[in-house]
Formats: sequence, C-alpha cells, structure tokens
Amino acid sequence: MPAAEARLALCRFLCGWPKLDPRLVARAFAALSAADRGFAAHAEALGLAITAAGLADVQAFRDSPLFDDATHRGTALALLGAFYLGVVGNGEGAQLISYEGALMFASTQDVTPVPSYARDGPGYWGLIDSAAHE
Amino acid sequence: MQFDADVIVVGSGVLGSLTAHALATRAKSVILLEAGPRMPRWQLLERFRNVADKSDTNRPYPDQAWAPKSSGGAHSDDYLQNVGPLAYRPGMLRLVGGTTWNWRSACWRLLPNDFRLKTLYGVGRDWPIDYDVLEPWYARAERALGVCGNPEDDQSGHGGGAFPPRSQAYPLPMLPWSFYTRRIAAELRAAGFVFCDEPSARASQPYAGRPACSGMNSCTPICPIGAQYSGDVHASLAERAGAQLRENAVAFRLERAGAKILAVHYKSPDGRETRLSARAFVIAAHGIETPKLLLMSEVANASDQVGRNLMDHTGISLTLLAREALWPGQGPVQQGAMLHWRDGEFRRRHAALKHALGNEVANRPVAARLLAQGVIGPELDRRIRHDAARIVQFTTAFEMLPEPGNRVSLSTAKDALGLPKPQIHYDVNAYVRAGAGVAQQDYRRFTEILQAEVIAADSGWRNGDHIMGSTIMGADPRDSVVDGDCRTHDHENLFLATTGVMPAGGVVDPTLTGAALALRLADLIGRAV
Repeated sequence: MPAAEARLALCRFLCGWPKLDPRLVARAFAALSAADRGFAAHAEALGLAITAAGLADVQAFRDSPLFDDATHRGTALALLGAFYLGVVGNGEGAQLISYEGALMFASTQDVTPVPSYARDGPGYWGLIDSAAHE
Repeated sequence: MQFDADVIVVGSGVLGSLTAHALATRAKSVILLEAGPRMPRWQLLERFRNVADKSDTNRPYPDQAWAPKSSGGAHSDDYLQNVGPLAYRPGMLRLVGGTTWNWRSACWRLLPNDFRLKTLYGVGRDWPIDYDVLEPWYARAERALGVCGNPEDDQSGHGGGAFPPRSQAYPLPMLPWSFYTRRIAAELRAAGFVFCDEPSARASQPYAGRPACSGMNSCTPICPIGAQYSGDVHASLAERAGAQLRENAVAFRLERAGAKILAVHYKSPDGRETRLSARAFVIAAHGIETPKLLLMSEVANASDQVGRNLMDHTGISLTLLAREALWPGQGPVQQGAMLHWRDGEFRRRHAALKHALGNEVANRPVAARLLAQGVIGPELDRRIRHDAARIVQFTTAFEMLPEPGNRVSLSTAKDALGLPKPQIHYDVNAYVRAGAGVAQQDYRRFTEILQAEVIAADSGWRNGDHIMGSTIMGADPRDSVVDGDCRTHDHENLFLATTGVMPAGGVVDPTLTGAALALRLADLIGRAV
C-alpha cells in the first residue's frame, strides 16, 4: 500500500473516524516528522503491527499488548493528540492541524459550540433544559 | 498661539477612545495617538482560529517590535521585565481599540464603601471622591458601552434589596442564564450563598449597531460578531465625529515648559519622530504604559508616586468535576458571581474577594487530560462528553492594597525603538494571603455542594488583568499623582484616563469605573478648553 494510503488508514483506525480528512493526515505527519525525524518510521511500524495482529478496531488495539509497547503507545497518542486537540506541539512552535475539525469537539456538538462558531441564534441557551443532554 | 489640536489623547483603548469621542462631539479638535496598528475584527477572528497555541489568549493579537503587548509573541514575551517575587503579566494589547478586544466585559460599579476603605476599615487609601460624585457617570458609561445586568441584585453580596443605588436602569436587560448557571446558582443558593448576575457589556438585544449575543463562547479572545463591546467601537465613533486617529505612533515624551505640557513627541516604527502641540493632553495608555511615559518624560512626579502602588486582582482558581451534567459553554463565558465576601468589617483583617463562575467550553483541557492518561477509542469520546459536561470553574479575585514597593519603573533593557522596557516589582501581602485562606474554605464547600471531584486547586497566584494604582488618585499632591478629576497635580493641562488612577479597586473589574472617570474628565476638559 502506498505510504499516504497507509498513513490515512492508520489514522482513521486510531480515531475510529472513517471520514478523517487526508489533508489533516498529511498536515499531522508533516508536523510530527518535523519534531521527530523517526516519526514516520514509527508510524509505519505501528500500522504494520496492527495489520499483523489482525486488530478489528481501536478498542481492540487498546486491549492488545501493542498498546503496552512504549513506542507504539507514544506514536498512537501523538497522532490522536494531533487530531483530537487539533495541534502538534506547544507554545510558540505549535502547529495547527485543525480547529473546527478537531475531534475533541465531535462528541458534544449537539450541546455546545466550537468556540467562536455559532451553534444557534441569539439567547439560545436560555431556552433549553440541558438536563436532557446526558 | 497655534496648536496642532485642542486636545491630544494618547491611547485608543476604551478610555482614550471614549475621551476622544466625547471631546470631538463637543467640536474640539482631537488627535488620538495609538502605538499599535489597526486590525479589523474578521482578521483577528481568523488569526484566533488559526493560531495553534490557544492557551495564551493574547496570541492572536499583533506582536510588533515597536509596541509589544504583555505576552503572546516573540517581542512581547520579553517586554515586561519582572524583578519581584510574582510575575505581573496582566492582559494588555497595543492596537486601535486596545485591550478590550480581549476581555470578558464584566461591568460592575464599585460600591460606596469601596471609595472609603481607609475611613471605614483602616486599610489602604480613600478615594478623594465618593460614589455619589461618580454615579451619573457610571450611568453614562453603561449607556456608552451597552451594559446588560439585573437591576434587582444586591451587588454588595448581602442578599438584600437592589444595590448600589442607580439613577438610571441598565440600558439592556440581563442575558438569560444557561442551564449550567441556573443549576449551580440554585445549588449554591440552597446552601446559603448569594449568587448574582454579572453585569456585562454584551448586547442582550441589538444595540447601537451591535448584534445580540449568540453564545459563541469566545468572548475572550475575541467576540466574533461584536455583540460584546470593544474599544474600537468608540475609536471609530471618535473618527466619525472628527477626531484624527494616528496609528503606529508611540508617544515617548511629553514636553513641558514650567508647569504646562506643550507637546507630545511620538516615534513611528522606523524611528522617525513627530512633535504635536495641544492645549490639553490626556494619557490613556493603560496602567503600565501611562506611568512609563510620565517617567520617561520626567513629568507629573513631584510626589514620587508615578508607577508605584501597582495593583491587580491577583487571584486563585478551582476546577471541579461535578457529579451532575451541567454543560458549561452555553452562552457567554461568564454569567454570575458570589459576592458574600465583597464588603464588610472583615476588610479590616483580610482582602475582600469575588468568586466568578466560569462558563467556558471545556473540551480542550478535558481531552488533553484524558489523552495524557492514555484513554483512547470509543472510551475517549464517551469520557470527553461525560467530563466536558461536568467541568465547573471558579476564579477568585482578591482586593489588593496600594503599596509603594509594588511598582512600574524603567528598565535598563530597551525595546526596538530604544525606549526603556517596563520593569515591574510585584508581590501579594499578608492581607491578600489571609483572603486566600477564606477563599479556600469556600472552595471546600463548593466541592461538597456540587458533589464534585477536584481537578485542579493549585493554580498558584494568577494575573487578574486589572491594572490599577500606578498613577494613583488622591487629595494630597504629596502622595498622589492625580486629583479627583484625574488631573495631574503637577500640570494643569495634563489628565490621565486610566484605571491606573484607582486608589482602591474593590473586587470588581475596573473598566466601567475607568470609563466613568474618562467621561467625567472629558466633560471637564470640554468645558474648559
């Protein structure tokens, strides 16, 4: 499988999000590789290990011995950080992967906005009883 | 004698722009100088969305070598030279419209007792004016900024009738409370705490060309639609009324002859200097740059108080994970506060304090914490939703006392224009520490009431972004910089429009008080010039 496809497959697997945008994957890899020249190789190794172990999904990966391996775990968490937090790195040198598309907002989008975006009209929050949202 | 303008105002933040606007509408010729550039809202919004590190809310704002902000950029991070035990780094921006591009717009009045701290409680300093003198100007400032609030609240925190006294109603009705605010207020009230709405400069309905708040929950660092007031509103109004706004103009010297200020000199980014003369001058460069300009110019300082008595609402915070799903992040970022420690005899012994309830979308810190714990997969999404619904944030502000050793002075380090960087020495004293002990007791009660788990209670001392005291107001020229009209004691035609004049700050955000003072001094100048 060509490298770009393999990376996309790995990231979609880890995020549990089949529609993860390939442009974000490319951005994440560029940022992570800039910080760590060995990153691409670690990611490739992780992808191959997941395939070899026949893991069905990220839950299976989490429950497998692969997640106990420090290198595989670090690689997985670095990628998840890039897509969930939408950022690679800290402080002045941090790189944006995505803000509106950061996966940390996905599970609450029925209740709260991505800050600076409109969820609803003026005063919407006074009209709803959020106890309905568990 | 020919002047370049009737009045020159240095600083186009909210106070300078209110002043410039008020004078221009009285047909005075006004030049308004701004050290930083102009930037439109849409561009600041895009910069915010695209900045990677969102932990410093200053970061989206321009970071220029000739006019650094307080943090959030290569030039700015090394600008304020802190030499004391605490790093004083309150929010400060340098661009047309000033620091209120990035604020939470809390617009409280001081209480009558806040003006008489020394007389009533034997600590700190009295204001040389009292609440009744400032009250009509508070009303005008609330109209100018478009403040919404609950007219029935006892803002002294005693759960009584409406207080402080008001000659006019809030111009706008209070914003509705979100479920989060309603539920927490109910639980705290049931336990005996007083919980008040926080008045704010947010349009709860369309107001003076501003749209109504739609709860995008990014009041800080920037309101995407301008429902929240920012200083550029009056910078624009001042220009439309005929004031001449010059951006990228860094005032560095006030020229005087005897007791009269003749001119202001400013530098452009390329170092070129310009001299402008006027009948009167208003320095509205906020509480660090204003004393810095006076010190560089060697004016207005017979008292040796310029730069001293620096105060903030230094504070602490508490982050909880409540038992119940409450959903912070609906509506604006702050809606209410607890004021039971705002005023009383205890101020003899310890600092007054205000607990503010934060209402920010919590997904980012929640997700970061879970990833750091190695949570992945469907559990990560489930836990983000679960925890983000339950984060409760309290931020507590303490009243500082004016101390001569807390001060802004001139560093030997120079900025890109060759001007001295501000040097700051700052610490909190036993009075504030005693207040923190009381606040911690309240934190334990909040934790119990909300059946919560403590996520973070060790914030250390946090900057409160409220710069006060550094050009202190007083009746006695020997120990103060300005009189009750904000006129410098030493120079009849030099006024200071800055929260830096405040000799006592209470526990509330000082902007509305500064705005009231600015409108009052503009009226005085307008009648005299």
